[in-house]
Amino acid sequence: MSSLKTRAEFTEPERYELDEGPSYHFEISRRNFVQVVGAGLLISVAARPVLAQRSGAGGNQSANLAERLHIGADGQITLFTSKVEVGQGSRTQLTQAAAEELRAPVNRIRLIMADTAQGPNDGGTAGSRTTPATVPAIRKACAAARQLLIDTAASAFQVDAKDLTVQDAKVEGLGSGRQFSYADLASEKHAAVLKRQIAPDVNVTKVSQWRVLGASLPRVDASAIVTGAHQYPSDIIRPGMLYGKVLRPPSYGARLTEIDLASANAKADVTALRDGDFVGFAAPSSLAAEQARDEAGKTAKWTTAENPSSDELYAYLRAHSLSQRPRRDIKGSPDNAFKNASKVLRESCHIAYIQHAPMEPRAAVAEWTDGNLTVWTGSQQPARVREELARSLRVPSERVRVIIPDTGGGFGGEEASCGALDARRGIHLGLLSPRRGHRRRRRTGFKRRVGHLGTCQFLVWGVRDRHAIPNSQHSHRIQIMPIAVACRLVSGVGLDGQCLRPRIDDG
Amino acid sequence: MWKCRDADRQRVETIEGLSPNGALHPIQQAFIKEEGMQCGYCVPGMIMTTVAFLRRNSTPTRDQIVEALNGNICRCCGYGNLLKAVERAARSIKEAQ
Repeated sequence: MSSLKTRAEFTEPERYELDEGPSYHFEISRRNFVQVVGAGLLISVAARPVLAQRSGAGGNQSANLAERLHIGADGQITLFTSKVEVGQGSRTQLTQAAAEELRAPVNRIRLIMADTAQGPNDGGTAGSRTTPATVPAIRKACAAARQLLIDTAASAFQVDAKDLTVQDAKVEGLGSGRQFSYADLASEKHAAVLKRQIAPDVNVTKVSQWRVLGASLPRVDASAIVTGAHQYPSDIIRPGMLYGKVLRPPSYGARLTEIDLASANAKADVTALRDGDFVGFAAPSSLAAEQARDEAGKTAKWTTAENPSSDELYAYLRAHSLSQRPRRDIKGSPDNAFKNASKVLRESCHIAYIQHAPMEPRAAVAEWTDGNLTVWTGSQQPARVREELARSLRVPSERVRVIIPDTGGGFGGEEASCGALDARRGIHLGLLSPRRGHRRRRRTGFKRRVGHLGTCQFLVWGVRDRHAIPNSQHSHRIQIMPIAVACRLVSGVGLDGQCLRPRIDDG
Repeated sequence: MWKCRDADRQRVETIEGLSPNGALHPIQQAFIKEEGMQCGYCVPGMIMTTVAFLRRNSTPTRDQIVEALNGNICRCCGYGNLLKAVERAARSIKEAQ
């Protein structure tokens, strides 16, 4: 019962982990990739499927050759990962991992995170998986790069690779006057050597020999944060950007029956559109968009839906939960274990309504250029956002690029994007949503029971009847509205009361 | 806390003005040193509140710091380090005088 794996069985799943993602293959065109980082050397390291997270968490299980690392002709080293930084410190930690294995100063290493146009898909950022899954992947790639540096230097100077080490990004042991660094490795002269494949079973540095990993290091992004220079998703501004505002329904499940958008659309700079219950407004300033929305909102007529009151909620969820989905991670027979237990303790409790509320308002900026869409937003699932945008907009996912700037808090809630865009004129639109419009999640009731058998040994730890329903503002579902006018708006819209299935053993 | 309109024609200091020559202000340094940040979104507000607060009170107690920063929220709940950062900042400003 004490192993990590056992504990992980009862890790509460995030909403998006219960949603089966599409199976697709992430490929990157080498040409595009090099355009982004400039001349130099790309190192490919075979990545085992273990890199990907458990199924459903967004990892690409079939990923094989992954571009992880770029060495610039100037010796600058760039690492790539799909992981995001939301304050948990992964940017620093992964940089440390790279510095450790490359034997290079931390400031020589740049980490590009969560850009679907660059680097391998390590899956989304959730479940504390970056440390056990992505740190090893980074270490392996960087250890391979270090070995390549040594081997290349050994062959260039006709010395035994065993006598060589790497320190301060340079090869040591070549003899006086001889130098070989990562910059040399990336030079044209050695281009032929560099084409070979790197073995996936490369040796990483033993923990006992770590110097940088495991040490307390100032965060690599600290200066940008304390000077206000860091650009969060809500700081992204594009030339000609419009601001978007969405009219939210007054209550969960409310249907829009009537709204007058004529006066909003009569304004020179304002575009308003309706698609079913969704109404969006775009304008050159946030204030103008908000004013247009508020004015038009006064003309809106809604039919509200019946919803259970807070008092009835737990009973409602119990009655409306869907049938159980079999769990793959149940070991043995919980029923038998309980039957044979000398004592079974039962306990019920209700958990209050939970709403994620990071400091940074959720924001997304979308930009169309020549039929390609780039979206900057806060999310822990860049690949999934990309896929959902592609599906919603009916464009190939190759035409969608999602970039997640280091975000002002995630807490498992930063899982989707809302953005807005103007397709016809090729201009850009940003959407900054008010906090109240964001994802709410009910995690409301569970019972647990613990089986006890004779000696002081817990046999079974079961959580049953856990229910969760998202409300109307659940942001995981992105719906991109078809357009009658120039503007398309993207927003998080509801799931029609769909309940998650209870996910554990018997009743 | 001020309304924006009350700041009209007033001198306003922002986080961008705290290190005009690129040299970090002692408070900024203290925030780095104590890692008074997680996502960092609240940090400019925390720092600017600290700037104003330490001008009024250069030798604050922990309770006074809590009181002074009470209007600033850190949703990552990194308060422990934030408080240490303010204490360190107060010490280093005092020592430099």
